[in-house]
Amino acid sequence: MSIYKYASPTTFYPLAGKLVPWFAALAVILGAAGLYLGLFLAPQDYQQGEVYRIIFIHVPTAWMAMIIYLVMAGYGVMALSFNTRLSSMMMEALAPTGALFTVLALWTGALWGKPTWGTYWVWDARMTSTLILLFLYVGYIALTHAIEDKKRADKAGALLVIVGSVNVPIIYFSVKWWNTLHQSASVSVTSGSKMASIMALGMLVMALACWMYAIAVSLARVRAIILERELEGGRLANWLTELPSANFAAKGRA
Amino acid sequence: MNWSEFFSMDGRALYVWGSFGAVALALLVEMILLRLRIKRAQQALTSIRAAQ
Repeated sequence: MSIYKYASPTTFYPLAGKLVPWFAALAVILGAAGLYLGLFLAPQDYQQGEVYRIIFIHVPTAWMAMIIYLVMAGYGVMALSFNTRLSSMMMEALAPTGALFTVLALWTGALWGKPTWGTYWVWDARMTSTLILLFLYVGYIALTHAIEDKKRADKAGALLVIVGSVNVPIIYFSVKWWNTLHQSASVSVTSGSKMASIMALGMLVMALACWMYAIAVSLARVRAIILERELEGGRLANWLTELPSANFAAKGRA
Repeated sequence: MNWSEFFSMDGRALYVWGSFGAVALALLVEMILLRLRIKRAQQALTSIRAAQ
């Protein structure tokens, strides 16, 4: 058995159904641990006092906004080069969650900016490029919904996301390349963390919780998308006629 | 530990809880909408299968 087997919606549907509860459970456990670390164990910041605790939700949501976009772009490359239906479905499943995390990154950033910089918003490079990221997500969703033919919609969407991915490194490096009001990175891939270790740990655990949440939600959503697309013609594919009803009949948690 | 002090967050409660609260609310709404979407799709499948 190869992993390519799971590139087909037919086999991925039940697999995703089995994985969702595990990722959801991990999200809950890590989220609880992260909140405990961030809100109770981590000390006050010597400059900002308590309000800095927004970092524990702002940074993870901002990371997710960028990562989900890059994952979508990766699926976009696969969709265009191998013509795999599931890749396009995964893009569609990830987009709403990515857009949501972008809104939350902007929202929590604004609420952090007001007490620390004295303003909710300035057109600085990082904030502006993050806003553009939101427009890219919304643009992808609008574009794929506007094109009736699903195959063409998928292709156009994939192309838009791939081209738009140039924006992600711009967001990431904006605080280095330009003079921004936004502070530079507290944790970086190359130089490690500049924060107290308990703070960094709290942020990392919260980020992992967001990862698990995003995976759980997008796997659950891709199941709905697989069904929606299969049912569009009003005719059942063989695998759906044979699918055991335990795989879709209403029960506790979907 | 003093809870009212904890919730007041140095007098910055609105910003801190406005951030965490918005995230919690948004994720909750996303999960509810997703549950509804999944249910709709599954009901459609059930009814098509029943009709066949």
